[in-house]
Order: sequence, then structure tokens, then C-alpha cells
Amino acid sequence: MTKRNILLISYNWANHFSLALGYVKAYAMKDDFIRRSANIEILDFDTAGLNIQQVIYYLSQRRPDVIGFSCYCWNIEKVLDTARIAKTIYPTIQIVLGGPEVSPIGLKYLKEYPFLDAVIKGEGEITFAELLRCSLGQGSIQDVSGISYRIDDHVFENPDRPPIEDLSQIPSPYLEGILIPKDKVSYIETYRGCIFRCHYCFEGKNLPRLRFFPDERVRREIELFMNNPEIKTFHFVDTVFNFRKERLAKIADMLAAANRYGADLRTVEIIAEFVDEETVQLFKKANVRSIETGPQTVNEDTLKNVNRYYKAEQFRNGVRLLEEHGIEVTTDLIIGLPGDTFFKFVRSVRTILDMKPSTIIFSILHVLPGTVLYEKSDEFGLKFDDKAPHLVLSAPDFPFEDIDKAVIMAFSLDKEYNIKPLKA
Amino acid sequence: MHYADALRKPFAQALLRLRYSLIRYKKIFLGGPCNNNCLHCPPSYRNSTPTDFSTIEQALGQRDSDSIVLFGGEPTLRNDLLRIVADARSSGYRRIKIMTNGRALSNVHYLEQLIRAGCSLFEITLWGSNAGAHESLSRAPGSFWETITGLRNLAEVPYDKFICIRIPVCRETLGDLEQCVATALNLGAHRIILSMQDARLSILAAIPHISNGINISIFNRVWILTEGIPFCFMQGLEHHISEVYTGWETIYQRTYQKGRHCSECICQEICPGVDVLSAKKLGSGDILPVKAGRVFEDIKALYD
Repeated sequence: MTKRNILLISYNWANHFSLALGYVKAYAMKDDFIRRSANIEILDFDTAGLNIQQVIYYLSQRRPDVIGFSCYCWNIEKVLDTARIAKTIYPTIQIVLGGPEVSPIGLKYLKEYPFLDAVIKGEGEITFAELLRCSLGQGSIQDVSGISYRIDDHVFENPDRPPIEDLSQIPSPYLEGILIPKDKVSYIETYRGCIFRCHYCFEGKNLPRLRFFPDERVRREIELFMNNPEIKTFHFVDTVFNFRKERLAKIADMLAAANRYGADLRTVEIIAEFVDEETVQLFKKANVRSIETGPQTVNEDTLKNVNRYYKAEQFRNGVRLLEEHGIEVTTDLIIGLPGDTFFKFVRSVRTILDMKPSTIIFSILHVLPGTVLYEKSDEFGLKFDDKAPHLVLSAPDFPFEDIDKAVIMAFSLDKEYNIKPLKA
Repeated sequence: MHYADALRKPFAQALLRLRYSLIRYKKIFLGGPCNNNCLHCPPSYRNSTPTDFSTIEQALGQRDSDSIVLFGGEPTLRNDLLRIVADARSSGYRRIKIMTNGRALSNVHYLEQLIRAGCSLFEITLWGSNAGAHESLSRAPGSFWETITGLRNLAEVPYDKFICIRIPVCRETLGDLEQCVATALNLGAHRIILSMQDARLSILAAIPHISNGINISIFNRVWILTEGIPFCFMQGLEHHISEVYTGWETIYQRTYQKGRHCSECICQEICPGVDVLSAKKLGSGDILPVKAGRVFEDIKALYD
């Protein structure tokens, strides 16, 4: 029997690669029928500078039967361009989208883009495998939970699929040899979900609680990474690396025990308010060199509006402790949150600059599908671009021209504050 | 009542001071000569006595900020500038800025040395968009092209740097202001400062040009600020008042006085008034107190 060709494509930034597609393939390959019937190939492309024609040429050589795309607000435009052209040239290709950009608004995408066949809602591992079985001739699409799909000219939506309770069901793409760890662009995920429910964030939404990958598997992944002398730096994608001290201690022990070549961790997401002397020592033990944290804004009304946790004194203390111990702190501020104004944003900038973090990152609010701000945008008085990346256009006290000026000011300040002089 | 009479009346309310500057630079006055002879250069800066090296070293040793700005005279004329910058860098200063006329940067080798020593922020004065306008005020033949070449070199060197172009606002070049902003944009500025430098210039007459300059800069996605212009003249343009971000004590020292209408202004607690020289020469008739405005409560909150 000739195996069918399945391509999983991700357009990424800065030579990163898709962990999500690694999971999707790893789970699908558990299935004997799929393994016997299909070849699944993951293609990671760099979004910047990518010419769609190159991808289409690749497709012309591979002639896939199914293409699955991993979709984010930053790559959806390229995904849609690729899918449209591919479907025009090869009408029998099935195009399946998944990922946070399309997942919450699958029906909308299917209605607007007739070249799409299905959109996966929520976590994709089990759903994609079931969909693939249908495509390979086993089962009916009507029975696959967690998808929106098209049959002829009609679009349908099946019931949601609950989150995967037991994450050990998903094999590790690293340990299975599906993803090969590379220096600077590799990540480990130890749990899914978030302890917070920030209204601008997609993470953790609709997920009732945290779910963990087995400790032993995490340990083996860490071992694999750190056994490779080429890997000098890697990351964790956990939403809050230090959400519980006991867990941080456990991970730090694993890292310290495995770290034979002096690899370090960079840009792990933490909550600065939870940082004390002991936490800093655990970070040092884990060889954390830089962390990223909020607070996104310091204004009380705005924090309340977006359900953001922020404790001014603890945050300041956390930043101070980390910087004093040589761990670089990157703080984030968002422009355009509901409740902020231009000068309230300046107040946030002032407060954060006063803490002297190593770096400040300014970003404009993306009103992302699936977030509370997206769903209740009318209630918040938010106007935003419906087209990805869904940039905010105005908030009740933050008109467009003020947001625009805040962005321009932030760019200038970013250049000045985050300057990287040549080494002394 | 003439403005001078108003000056004699003690102003009851103390001015609230900004207790922050977005990025607080330690100011180090270098003094010494300048190779320009700028018409509007503050007298105290013109060919001042050079600050001796040990005094500068001492100032660098007092680490109360991680950023310094070196200014006064023309820093690049000092033989020891590279050493000062290198010492500042090795003392741990992260941001080292010089305020310069930019002429010496036309020598790309010198510019490289300066950057390698640790200076990565530059604030450069551009008097006009062309040699005629610029040199009528810098009063140094050939200075325009040297400054322009310096700015071009700066834009091209492959190092991280911050370029701020300071455009003085004065009677002689008011008609050239918009063009000068456009020139600064073409030279790769990351920020532009329109700085009032002429006490005989009516701010009211300058505002349409300043407003145009702001629009040109924002249209081109470059942040632009004004300096030395009180709130009452900047109604609707408050975002661009540099003193809201840095306080009213700027490098170019100015003395402000309240006018007779200032007591009616909602900004009176946070605004020092108008430049005293300007008020003396032109009177205070232009001042229209701020009566209302959605942004002022937020601005005032910055002073808390």
C-alpha cells in the first residue's frame, strides 16, 4: 500500500521550530494504522524573508495529501496564502488549521476562506490523529470532537473536546527523535495551563487546572538537552516557571544534576512577585541567566480590567533581587490596555524604569481570538483590527492617535534604554 | 499690568517637581572651547573653562545613576574624551551620551573609537536644513557638511546606537523648521527635540511651525519632543513636552517665571511659567491659561 503524505507546516520567527507540531506528530505516530498508512513530515520555515513560492515548490515535489498548519497571529497571513495557492494547484489536498489564531474562531475562518477544509479547536494532538484516521479511510468526520469542518459548501462545528487530562498520553517529540534539540531555539514544556487568567492572554483560557507532564519524562528531556555540548542555551515554555517553589526546586535539581556542559536557561517566564532569596538561589542552581516578567501595566483600574496580578512592592523587590544576583530581568509593558491612557502608560513606564531592569519590552495590545478582551471587546469599548495580528485601534480613554504616539514614543525609548554598548 | 509687574508679585504656590526622569542621566559638564560659534549658545557654555580630568573622574565615581551625559563646550575637542568615555564604561555606566555639534564624527575613525570606548548615545544639534541656514547660526564655515557627514557616518556604523537630533527653534530659521525636521528624519534620528533657543522669538509665532514639525515626525514614525515651551502653548500637543518626562531642569538652563494669567491655569502647580528672558522681551500677552483638558489629571498624577 502506498503511504499517504502528510505535511505539518509552521512558519516561525528567528529559526525557532514548532514544539506543537512535534507533539501532534508524536501522538499520531502512536497509532498503528496511521503509522502504516502515512508519512508525517514536519516543515519549519522562518517567517521573515520567506518566499511562499519556495514552499509551493516544495509541495509540488512532495505532493501531500493533507497539510496541517500551526497558526498564530504572526503567521496566519502566510498560512492562508500558502493554503490558497496549494488548493488552487492541487484541489484534492486537505487543508487543516490548528493553533491559537484559528482555534477559537474556526467557523469564521472556514466561512471566509473556502479553500480550508477543517479547523481544530483546542489542543490538537488527539483531534488531529482522529481527523487523520478519517482522511485515511477509517471513521467519520462527524464523530471527531473538537473540529469545525467543511463538507461541500457547508460548514459544521462538532462539540468541543475536553483538554487532555493525562499528558503522559502524548509522547515526547524529543525522546521519540521527532524533534532534534538545537542551541538557543529549543524548549521544554513541563505543564500546560496557567495559574492566572489575564484577559488579554490565550494561555490557560478554558482550562480548569494545570496539567503536568510526568516528572520522569521532564527529567529525561532535560538529560537529552544537557547531554549535548552543542546546546548552550535553551528555554522552558511554562507559563510561570516559578509558580510553586517546591516544583521549582525539583526542576532546579534536575537541571543542576544534568548540567555537565554549563548550559544556561534564558527568558523563562516568571512572576517577579513570587521571587525571594530562596527563589533566586534556585534560579542560580538551575543556571537561569535571564527571566521575563510583567507587569504589562501598573495602573490599578487597568490591572482590574484585565484581571492582571500585580503587587507593586513585591514586584520591585523581585526585580531588585534578580538583578543584584546577576539574573537579567526583562519587563513587559503593553500599550493600549483598557483603562490606560497615554499618560497612564507613561506612568507605567516611569515605574518600571525606576526599577532598572536590564531590558524593557513594549508591545501593543493584540486582541487575540479566544481571550476575554476579544469576546467582551464591546463591553470594554475596545476597537481592534479583526485581521491578524488583531492590533488594538482604540480604547475608551486611549484614542487611536494616542496609542499610535505611545507606540512611537516606546520605540524611541526602547532604543535608548535597551542600548547595547560594546563591551567594556 | 505689564509682565514685569507680575514678576514682582510672589507666586504663592510652590511648584510640584517631577521626582523622576524617564531615564535619569547624570550630567557631567566638560567645558572648554567649541569649534562652532553659535549665535544662540548660552553664554555660560561659550568657551568655558574646561573641567579638569580629576574632577570628571570624581564625578564618575559617584555612581548615582547608570547613565551619563557629557556636555558643555564641544566634548569632541577634548583630547581626553576617549579616556573619559572608557573610564565611564569601565565604571559600569550603561548609557554614555554626548551632546555634540557632530562635526568631529565626520571622521569615521574617530567615531568608531568613540563607540568602541563605550559611547553609544549621541545628541547632535542641527541648526538648519542647508548650509546657509545652519551656518548663519553656527557661524562656522563648513560646519554644516561636517555635521551632516557625522550624522551619516553615525547612521551607517554597524553598532547599536541612539541618535537624537536637537533642532533649535529661533527667529532666523523658523521658516526652515519643517525642512530641518525632514532632514533629521532622513539622517536616521531616533528622536528629535525642538528646543526654544531664542528669547526674542514669540512662542505663539513658532507654534504653527512646531506643530507641523511634530506632524512630519510622527507621520514618519519618529518620536519628537519640544523643550522650553510651557503647557499653555502646547495645548493639544502635551504628549510632546519633554519636561513632562524629564522635569524642567534641562541641560540648557532656563529661568522661568509665572505670568499674570498663570494663576488661572490648571497647570500652575506643575509648570514653571515662561522663560524669563522671553517674557521680559516680549511680554506675557501670548499666554492663554489652560482651563480644561482631559490629559492634565493624568499628567499631574505623574508628579505624585
